[in-house]
Amino acid sequence: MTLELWQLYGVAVAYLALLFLIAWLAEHGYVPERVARHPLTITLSLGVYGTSWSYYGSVGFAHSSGFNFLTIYLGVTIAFLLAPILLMPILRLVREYQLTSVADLFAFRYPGPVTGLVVTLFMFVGILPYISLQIQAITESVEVLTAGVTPDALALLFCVTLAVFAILFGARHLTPREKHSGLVVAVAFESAVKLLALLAVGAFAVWGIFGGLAGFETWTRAHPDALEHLYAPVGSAPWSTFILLAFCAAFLLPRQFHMAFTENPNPAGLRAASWMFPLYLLLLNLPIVPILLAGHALGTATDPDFYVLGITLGQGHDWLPVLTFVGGVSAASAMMIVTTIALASMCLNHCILPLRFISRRPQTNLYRWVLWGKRALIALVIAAGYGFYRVIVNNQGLVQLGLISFVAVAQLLPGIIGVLFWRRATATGFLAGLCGGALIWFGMLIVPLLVNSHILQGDTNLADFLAPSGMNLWTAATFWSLSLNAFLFVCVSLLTRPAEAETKAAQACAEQRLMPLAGRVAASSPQDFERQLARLIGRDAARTEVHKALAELDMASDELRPAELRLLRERIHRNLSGLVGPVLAQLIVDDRLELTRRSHIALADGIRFMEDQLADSRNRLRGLTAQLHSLQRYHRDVLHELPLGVCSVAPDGEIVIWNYAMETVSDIGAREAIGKRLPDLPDPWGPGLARFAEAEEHDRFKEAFHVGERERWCNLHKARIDNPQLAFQQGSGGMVLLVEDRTDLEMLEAELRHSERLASIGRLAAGVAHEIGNPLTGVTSLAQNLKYDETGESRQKTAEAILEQTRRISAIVESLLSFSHGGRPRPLAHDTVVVTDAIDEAIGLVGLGRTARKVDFRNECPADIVVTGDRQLLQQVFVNLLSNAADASEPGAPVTVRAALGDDGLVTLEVIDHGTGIDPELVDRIFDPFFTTKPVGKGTGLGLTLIHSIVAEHGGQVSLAPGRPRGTVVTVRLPASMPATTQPMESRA
Amino acid sequence: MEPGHGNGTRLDLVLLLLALALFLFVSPFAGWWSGAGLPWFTPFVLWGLLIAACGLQHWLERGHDS
Repeated sequence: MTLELWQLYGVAVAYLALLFLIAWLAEHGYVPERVARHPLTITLSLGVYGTSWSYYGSVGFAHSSGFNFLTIYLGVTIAFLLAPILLMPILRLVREYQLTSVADLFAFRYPGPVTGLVVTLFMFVGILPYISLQIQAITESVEVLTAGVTPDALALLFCVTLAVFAILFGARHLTPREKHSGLVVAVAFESAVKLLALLAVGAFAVWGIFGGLAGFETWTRAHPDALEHLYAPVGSAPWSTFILLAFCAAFLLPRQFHMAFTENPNPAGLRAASWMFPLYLLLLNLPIVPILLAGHALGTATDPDFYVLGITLGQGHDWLPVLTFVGGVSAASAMMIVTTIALASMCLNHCILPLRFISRRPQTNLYRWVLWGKRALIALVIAAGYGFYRVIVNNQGLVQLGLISFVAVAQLLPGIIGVLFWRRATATGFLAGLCGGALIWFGMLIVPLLVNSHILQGDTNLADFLAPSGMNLWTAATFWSLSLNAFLFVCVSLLTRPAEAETKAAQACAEQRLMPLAGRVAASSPQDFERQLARLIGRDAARTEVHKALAELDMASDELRPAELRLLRERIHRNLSGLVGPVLAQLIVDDRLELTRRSHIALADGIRFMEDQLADSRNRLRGLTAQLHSLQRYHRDVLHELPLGVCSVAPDGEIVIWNYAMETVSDIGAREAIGKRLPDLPDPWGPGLARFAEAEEHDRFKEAFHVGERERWCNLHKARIDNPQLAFQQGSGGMVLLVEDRTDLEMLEAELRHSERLASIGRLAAGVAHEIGNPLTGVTSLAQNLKYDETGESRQKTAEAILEQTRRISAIVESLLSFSHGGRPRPLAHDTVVVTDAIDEAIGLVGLGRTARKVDFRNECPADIVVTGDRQLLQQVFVNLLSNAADASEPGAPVTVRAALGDDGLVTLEVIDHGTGIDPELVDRIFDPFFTTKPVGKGTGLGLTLIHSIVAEHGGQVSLAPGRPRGTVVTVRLPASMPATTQPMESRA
Repeated sequence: MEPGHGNGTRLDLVLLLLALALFLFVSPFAGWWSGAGLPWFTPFVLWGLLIAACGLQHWLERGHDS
């Protein structure tokens, strides 16, 4: 059966359209997520490794070199069984630092102006033979099926068609971090198609040609030379060389890197692929030997590279050649689409965008540049592959072209060892090695191609020199290029000193997180970030990138804390890396979001970094380190669980520790407080704590904080942290503030004082009734006599007498009310209290009591002595003192009150009675709460305790001493004006 | 199992698999089985054994992680 050219082209286009439809369905959610992310899907997507080389060329390779064809897949098997130490670390780096290509990886590890550029250009040139291999395979397969010479236009048409589909697959719209979920599903489908197609042809070879397994066995026994030819190369030098080349290609080929790392939606899938992918490759290669031997058995005239097609022709199954052709298209197209997408991304990130940036022409829209740049580069890559095919390849076998690319990719092996294992490697060493190996590769493999194609003239070349007769060309090229590469890599790395950026990158690659950046971001808010970035990447792109980073970090758009802004900068850097590559992302961030120069890392960041490191690594800590970590966690937990508010402030003023008690007393969460400076905290805590931190004193008592409708009373304490190392690094050791919440205690004290005042009034009740009763009786008598007054003058006198009595009652009631008022804690008032007037008022109140009425109160206080204090509280003090003195005195005995102003500014007030006195043994306990010498029911035992508390609040002292010859002298010393520590809080929000 | 022990075991198994792969396909043992007149599918059987060993290692690793 022969097919028409247009029929085959139609089949190819229809198949590509089907692939695109599958990709579109996957991107729009019609393919369930669990299918798209399933390990089998990821494994099959890696099957893009099997190109036309595997589909067609393996049979030709088996024909010419026996089982050497298996080495191309055994090497991959070894690479994947090393997944935990080889592939997973690369995946971690790619995901953590948003790397999108193999050039990004090397540019990250070996930072420098040209690393990414050199790797990209080398990969571009090195992969061209591989792309042209696919074009050649398609055109030659068409020739086999059409039994005619294919017009040159077919290759061009195929390339144009593929370019369109590659753009549809990979550059239809922008995707973050080069993730195309539809592409993964489409490539997985493609891998399944080519596997099924090849298995079908293999099954046809066994059952259709040989008549079954028994027939196949019989034929192989009858032709032992066929098996001998297959086994002959095993264990030879080329055998090991090809295994090594395939090992490198398994993860360094741009398309393999792209599918295994960049597009990988599920890291667990890569672990499963460590055995599933080699199994897929085994199944893919199982039909090769039967197909080869079937071709021999049939004596088909087809080139062995195309036995896959040749043995299906003229066998009576018209669908089989078409299916086989579709498998070939599948293999070629997937490789070209993924490779062009990967190479276009590399060229854009490392060649085009950095040049545009360096030229300092402002970007109007970064996204548009990235999208159209990628489309243009996809077309350019395919055009270059077509050009290579037209100029060079006509007399090369498929495998030879593929091996040229494999040797090129193998030049990255020393560099990847430096990425994963050797921290001392430098960018200069890597570039020196790569250039040396590339030169050997070019001289031994590319130059002969150019000479054969009459592009270069010459009789001798490097291959003849380095691979004399008898030595396999591929072994020699691999050996010499890798040897020179490794030699230069090691020597130059050891002779050059790594830059700081290289050292940090090496740490990051060796599973150590990068230390947090030192310095403060010049941009002071997310809005400022947008403004700065917009100047370079356009307003829309800047807004999108900043908002995306804020959402990913769950950060508010009004964030101002320096530590959080550093995190935001880092996240924007990572996201831009995924979009435009790490080189340009670094340039953008360094240019627009610069860090102010600072030699040390913020303490808050250092603590956060250390805790993150420990949290991630706790499963790997052992021995002393594990114990230290446990001890660190214990101390941290103790600090956080303290019933005392702890706020630790770093030398640069940022809050580092904010424990649970601080959260409770302030209603400010740790997440909100840490990283801020004290003045930036919400009112009233920010201004209050900041003032206390600046003040000279180390303690402050009963500081009031107005929080909304409530008031909180706190004792504040602070201490400077004496840490010589921290002081050396950052200028000082920082400070710790302790906040003791005594709001409940304060309310209790206020209630107690109020209760005591009410109790005092209660004790006065009988006397009050008598004192009010007397004037009331007077009012009654005067009112009764009023009706008998005949003249206006007598009525006037009676009315005035009545008014006088009511004024007397009013005064008594008012003084009682004034004395009993209160009960809520409040700041001390700043009243100017004339001592003699306050004593007179107290005498008036106390005198209402029956017992006290008979005592002779003598107020000998000078009229000019004044104290500043809370009038009501001071009156409570005087009432209690006079009441106690009256209770201890005999009827008619004097109770004298004297006051004097000393040179030290203290007013000394003495209350002297001549009563029973106090037992000297009880003097020490006299101020204890609930201690009383009175009978039960006659006193609460709180009076002197409250006096002591009130006087202490006023900055004074109270003491007792025996009187002479008997009685008691109570001495109260009060400052003439109140000291600063008892100043009330100023008005607050 | 102590913290960190899982990683050590994982590395041991990986190195064991590498040794097996090199023994089967790169060492002189490869020369032996290729010259012993064995059936055509012998390399595939050996390859399959190596894959099975990888699968076992992956299964053990999943069991440890869970």
